[in-house]
Amino acid sequence: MTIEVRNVGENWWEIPRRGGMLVPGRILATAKQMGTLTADPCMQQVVNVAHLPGIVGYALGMPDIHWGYGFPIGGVAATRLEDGVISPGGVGYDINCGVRLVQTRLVFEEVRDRIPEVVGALVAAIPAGVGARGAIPRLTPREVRRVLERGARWAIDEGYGEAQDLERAEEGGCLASADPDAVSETAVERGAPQLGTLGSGNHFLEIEVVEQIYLPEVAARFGLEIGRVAFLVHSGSRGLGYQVCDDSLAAMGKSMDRYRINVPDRQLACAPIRSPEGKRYLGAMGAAANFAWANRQIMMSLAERTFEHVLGVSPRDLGARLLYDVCHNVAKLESHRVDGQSETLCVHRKGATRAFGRGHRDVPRAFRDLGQPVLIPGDMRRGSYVLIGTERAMNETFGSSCHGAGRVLSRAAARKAARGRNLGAELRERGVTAFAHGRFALAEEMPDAYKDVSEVVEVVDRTGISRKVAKLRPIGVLKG
Amino acid sequence: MKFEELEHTADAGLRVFGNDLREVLENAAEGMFSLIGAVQFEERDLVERRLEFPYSTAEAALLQWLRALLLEFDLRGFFPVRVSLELQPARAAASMHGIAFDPQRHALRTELKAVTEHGLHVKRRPGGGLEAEVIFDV
Repeated sequence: MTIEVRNVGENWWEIPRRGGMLVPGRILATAKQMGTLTADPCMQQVVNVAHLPGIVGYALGMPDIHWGYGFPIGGVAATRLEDGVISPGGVGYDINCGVRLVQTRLVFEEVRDRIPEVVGALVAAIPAGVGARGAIPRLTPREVRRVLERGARWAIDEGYGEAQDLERAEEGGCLASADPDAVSETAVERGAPQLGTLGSGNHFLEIEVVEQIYLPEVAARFGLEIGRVAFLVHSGSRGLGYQVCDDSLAAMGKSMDRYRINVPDRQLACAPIRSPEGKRYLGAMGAAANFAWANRQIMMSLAERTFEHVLGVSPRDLGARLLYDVCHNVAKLESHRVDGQSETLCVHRKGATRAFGRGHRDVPRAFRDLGQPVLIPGDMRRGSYVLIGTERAMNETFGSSCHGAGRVLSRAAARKAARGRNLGAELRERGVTAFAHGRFALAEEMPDAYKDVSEVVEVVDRTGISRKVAKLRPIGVLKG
Repeated sequence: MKFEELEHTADAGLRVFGNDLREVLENAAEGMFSLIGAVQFEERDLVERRLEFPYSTAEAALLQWLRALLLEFDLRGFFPVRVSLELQPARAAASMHGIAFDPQRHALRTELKAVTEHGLHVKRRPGGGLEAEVIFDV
């Protein structure tokens, strides 16, 4: 089914209100991108999100929007605290799936030949793929609940990283609203063996070289220098988060009649933010988000140790420093301006990145006069970007930006397109050493399966909701 | 045909067929684990597990059944290779034979994070029998 959209500005498109939509939809895309989107199921998902009680402004789609379940991936929706709902479908199963960028002092030209060896050692150090477990000693349920309460700080106290890392993570790597008691025993049991593991699907650890700088002054403040090696860690809350989502959807599905809520897709099950079900989900989701921060913190530290061991360098010579850690799947209570008034909203970001502008108190002190670093991973060949949040994003997208390239091929279509090709060799020819645990992981995650991240980033840069700071080129990839 | 893979941009999906709900559920289990991977096994490696669950609608039965299987796999590494179900009006009982999954020995395909309710349905086919669709988060 084709959804009616109209152009309302350069790279801005609107889905007018109709039927039970409470607000219009707004999509950020070029005319070319919109041409392929109008008949895509993700447009109907924007329409569905616009039905959520208490939604304000618009149901938003970032330029990497694609078909998800419930919300589109690349979807943003803000609901009023007073009479709005919170929806686990607006966060997704992989709560606080996110990405962190770690810079090093290594010069690419000096370590170029050692990258395949580093990738091989990372494969051994960081469990990944289906059923991955055992990165760190198995935790007792009580310890897991401490992780849920403390987030990245728990990992640092256990020797994975340094206290200064906390300043460089969204929310300081811990949502204070977390309520470990709202997390089921089953979820805790699922999470216990999985802390410090990458998982599967689109999760990865990727070694990069800084290739291009667009805003030299900002890049210098971020510590980004052409030719230096960095790495990205992309993972989330593993089975613990999936179970929190399942548990919450079941509870909210049962309570919707009581709250007289009707939504067009069962995956959008929701409850008033201030209801017992809403509060419980906020607490459980926060706890799962904290698990994800601890997870990425541990993997970052394991990767640093691997670099040191393989290259025979000291921590000082490696000079690893977290630039920033962002969430892609989360709902948070934030203050935004609505009709000129400051209001507390529940901002759902499903495959979207917070992109706060300069001066915001939630931007780390070190960058507060600049804006928040925004990390946009692309694909295994074309690279990734570092951007910076803007005040424009605060005004137009509830302080949000895109989160990646966005898929264009289904996994089945990607496998078909990869038939007869040696993707590992193709990537090697382009200077990328890639390893994947899953039998079809390289094929399903092949560069052709994704939009060109440069085109996606260009849209957010031109519309001013984020500004390009630097481009990174992949040189080593570990996939689940 | 027992099932076919659905095209979905980001995730994975199945269209499942069966003469009745019992067959749809059995075929859906086979389909879901075909997405996770294929394992080699010998009869002597098989262990039996049993599972019971209540259900209200065909969709609820499909959702609960697949979620229970995925949970067994994630928590205990139980990879079923043969399942049979008995359905009563509001309760299902399953007997499952499977292997203990070992990530060191079994190279599998992908992790299914969850069974979603997005577009989930079970409907009658014009020519007889049932057809179901289910999307998994990958």
